[in-house]
Amino acid sequence: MENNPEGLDRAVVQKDMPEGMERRLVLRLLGYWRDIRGDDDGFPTFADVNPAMIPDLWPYCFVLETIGIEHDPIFRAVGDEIAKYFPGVIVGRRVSEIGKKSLFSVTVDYLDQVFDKRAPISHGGEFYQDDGTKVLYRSIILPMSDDGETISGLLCAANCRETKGE
Amino acid sequence: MQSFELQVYKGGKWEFDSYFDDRETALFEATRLHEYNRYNGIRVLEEVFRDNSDTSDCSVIFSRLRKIENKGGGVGDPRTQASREAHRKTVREGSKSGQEQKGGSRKSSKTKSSKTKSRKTGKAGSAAKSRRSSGSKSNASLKMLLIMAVVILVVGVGAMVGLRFMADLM
Repeated sequence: MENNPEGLDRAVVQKDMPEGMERRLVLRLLGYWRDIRGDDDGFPTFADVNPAMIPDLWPYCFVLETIGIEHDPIFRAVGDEIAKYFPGVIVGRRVSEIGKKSLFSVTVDYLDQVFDKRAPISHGGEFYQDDGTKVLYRSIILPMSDDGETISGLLCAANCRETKGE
Repeated sequence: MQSFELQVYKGGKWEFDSYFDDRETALFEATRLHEYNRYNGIRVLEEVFRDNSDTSDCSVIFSRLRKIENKGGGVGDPRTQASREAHRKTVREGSKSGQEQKGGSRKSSKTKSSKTKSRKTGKAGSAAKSRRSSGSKSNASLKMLLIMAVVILVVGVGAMVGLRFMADLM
């Protein structure tokens, strides 16, 4: 991350989310993923995911279908909150169609690593929107499977904080 | 470039749990997992990739181990494994190049093969443990038998001498 003058970010932070909350949101989803997986060595299935059990997390989640299309997955479900970060409808679109400079694009940027390592991966960072708004984000991608072994989909989540100015 | 690998000690071996690009997040999660009391061991490995090289330096930056009843010792002891693997250098040919991989089948890398290998190692390790424990038990039994044989011999010889002495008296 860039080294900003101390206090600058705090002075202009617009989101009123408590500091670290975006990180904890990602980690809470990771904890939920571990819970539904249980003690198995494999991956949990989407059938085990119950959005009602994670009402504070689900709005920031989205689901990618990857089986047979690992090179270009398709968005199958998107939470209400994170959907605001994409103009238009994203469900049904492929990853290659969403372009750059969005919360979705930075989140799916490391999809390959998840297939490579076969484990949850969390990334954080920043990007600039077209209007110069700096966005700090943290995301996570969780592998899911229909048979416990083959990755058939990805459960993703991302949260962010916008700042203005450099 | 660096990454942080969170591992859990489960079923007698260390397994990959998750990866982070942020040290603070990785340590936060490791601490939380340790407090959650679900696994016997939690550790975080920091991997620093060297520029212009396929090698990386790996070091343990967080380790929490619970006391485990270990009958066999050795391979199954997470403390032994942790001390052996700390500060090891690993060659990661696939890790960095994995970022550029697009398309094609998602064949696993070292991670899956390591996981598979660790599962096989775990099974082999537990079999070796049981062989070692049964071997040590048979050694102890043999010693006991020898001692008993010596005692019986001594008692027998003593009885014979005593009886002869009494016969001479009569």
